[in-house]
Amino acid sequence: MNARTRGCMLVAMLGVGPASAQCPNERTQAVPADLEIGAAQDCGGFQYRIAGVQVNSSDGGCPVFVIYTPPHEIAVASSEGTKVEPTGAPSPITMASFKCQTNWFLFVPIGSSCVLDRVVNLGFVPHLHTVPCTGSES
Amino acid sequence: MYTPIPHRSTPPRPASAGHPLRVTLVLAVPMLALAAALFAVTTWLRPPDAGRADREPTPSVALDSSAQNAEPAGAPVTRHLVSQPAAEASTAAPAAADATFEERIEQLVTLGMRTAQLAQQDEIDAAKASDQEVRRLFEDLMQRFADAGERGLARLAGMPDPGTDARDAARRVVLQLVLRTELARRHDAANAAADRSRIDPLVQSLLDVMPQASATAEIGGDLLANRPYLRLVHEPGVLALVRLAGEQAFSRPIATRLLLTLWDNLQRTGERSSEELCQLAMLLLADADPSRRTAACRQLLVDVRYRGLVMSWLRERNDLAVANEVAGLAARELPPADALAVLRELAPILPSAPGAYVVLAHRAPEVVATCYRELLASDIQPGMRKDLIAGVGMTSSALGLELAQLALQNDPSPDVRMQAVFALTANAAGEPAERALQQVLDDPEIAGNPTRLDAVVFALQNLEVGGHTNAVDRVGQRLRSMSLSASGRRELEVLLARSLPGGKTSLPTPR
Repeated sequence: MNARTRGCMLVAMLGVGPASAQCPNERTQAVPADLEIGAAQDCGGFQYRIAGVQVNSSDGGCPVFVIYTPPHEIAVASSEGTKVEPTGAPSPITMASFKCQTNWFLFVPIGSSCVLDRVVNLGFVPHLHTVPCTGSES
Repeated sequence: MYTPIPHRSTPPRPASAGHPLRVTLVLAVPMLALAAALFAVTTWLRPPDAGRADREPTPSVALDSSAQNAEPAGAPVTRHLVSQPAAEASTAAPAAADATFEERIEQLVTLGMRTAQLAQQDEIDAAKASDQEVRRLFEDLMQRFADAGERGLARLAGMPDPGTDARDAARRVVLQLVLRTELARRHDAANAAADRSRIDPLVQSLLDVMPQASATAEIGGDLLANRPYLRLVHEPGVLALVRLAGEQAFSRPIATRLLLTLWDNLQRTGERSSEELCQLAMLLLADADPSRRTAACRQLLVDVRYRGLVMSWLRERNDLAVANEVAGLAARELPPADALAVLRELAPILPSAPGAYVVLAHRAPEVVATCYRELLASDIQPGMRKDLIAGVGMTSSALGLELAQLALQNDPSPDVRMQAVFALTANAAGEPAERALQQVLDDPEIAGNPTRLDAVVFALQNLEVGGHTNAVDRVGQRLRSMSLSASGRRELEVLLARSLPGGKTSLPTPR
């Protein structure tokens, strides 16, 4: 870290110091965990035409991804003279990607399977708690 | 965004798990060849004996109790069936022209498993030949048995819940295929003749047996969800499943999928008008049952006349779980521009919904990218900008990387810049990803904020997933010297221990 960076960091940290102290009137609100499932990809399955009827494998195939957002807290307005502060480390939002592993010519689609490709962190969510504003924060 | 609708309930297996249905049929190979030859001769030299199928009684799948009174998933199923199909047939019997339905199913199971085995052994020509034989046998089965659906359903309902037996699993696949094909052909016939007297009872029977076991529930859900078969006559059956879900006696995701499908079908076929459905939805909007509420929200959201009503109801209710659910619905189902508008309106009660934006960006990356550029130019709504970058940045596309770089270099919000780093470390090559990390460690608004600095460790984990060990070494070494929280430091040390020999960076940590 060079001197300029250190200087910038000092300014940034001072910027949220006592000089700007004013009670933000906030409290925490819990956000429940969320699971978002992406669109399905064609896992091979099968396509078959019998007696003039086209039969396809189910729409519900292999999801492209699944995103898990852990439970966390957000700050919302309050009139009770409180503020929110981080408590502990944040939690990662994870994104698991899937791919199809297919035996492509099977009539009975037992040869295709949905396999985990990779899991990456998509972002993070904070953990907050509510504390009373101090006397100097009004 | 809560969308507990797994497309397949079976958890995905790791790539190394191998094929689920490994069988050893070394001795069976010559016997099967002989059986196939015998079958070919007997079948090709004789016309189909359709009379045989007619003589076999159709097994009844009528229940002695309604779905409302059905036992929870996993309960014994023996009392439900009035009659069961014949005992399990020989697995190696040839599909002679007079073979029973059961015998034919068992032969399909055997041949299907053999095809899979041949494929695994890279015996491609033999597998293709076996595959052709399976197709031929299946077509023959469907042609001979006009009641294949009822027979298959009765057989399926009598099966035990999924276990580890490979043959049971394969049998389930074959029976599911029989039902899927039967439903498709009866649907076509019903449309052609404007007569639903053959498909509606089969669908009702399927609804009735679904609560009997988790296997029938999953297969029924798979066969009926997002398909045109559920109609007004099935509404009581679907609502019975919703009710069971409310009593934790049936799968909630499957019940929700079926209710959504039913409403779609009612509207599409005109059995219930859009107006009627919206009125019903408004009544159900405040329903405590999550399936009904989801269906109501979706119905009202897709109708532009009622969208504002849903949004004001959400603001008034201020329930983040429902807001998440609505965000997910909008991202998946509304036209992209409308979805963005809904997400923007949700922002006051749901400040962040990255999952919904990722779903939307996979559908319409350009729409999301354009929205980000516009908001950046105006320097407004940093919360939404962050989610837009999360969305488009995770599409693993050139556009996503371009937008992430744009955000990292130009966005005034440190949270958006941090989000860009996640996109770059997850999807860019090692060098630009490492550069992005080094840049945010020089960024006082990130390095000086304990929460954001801890999150940099999560981004570094993405480099580990990408196999960029040298970059992990260099960035990890630098992070060690910074003011991480205790838990952030623990996370970093675990990561370095996983990635580097002995957890040691190539250079000692500067003090």
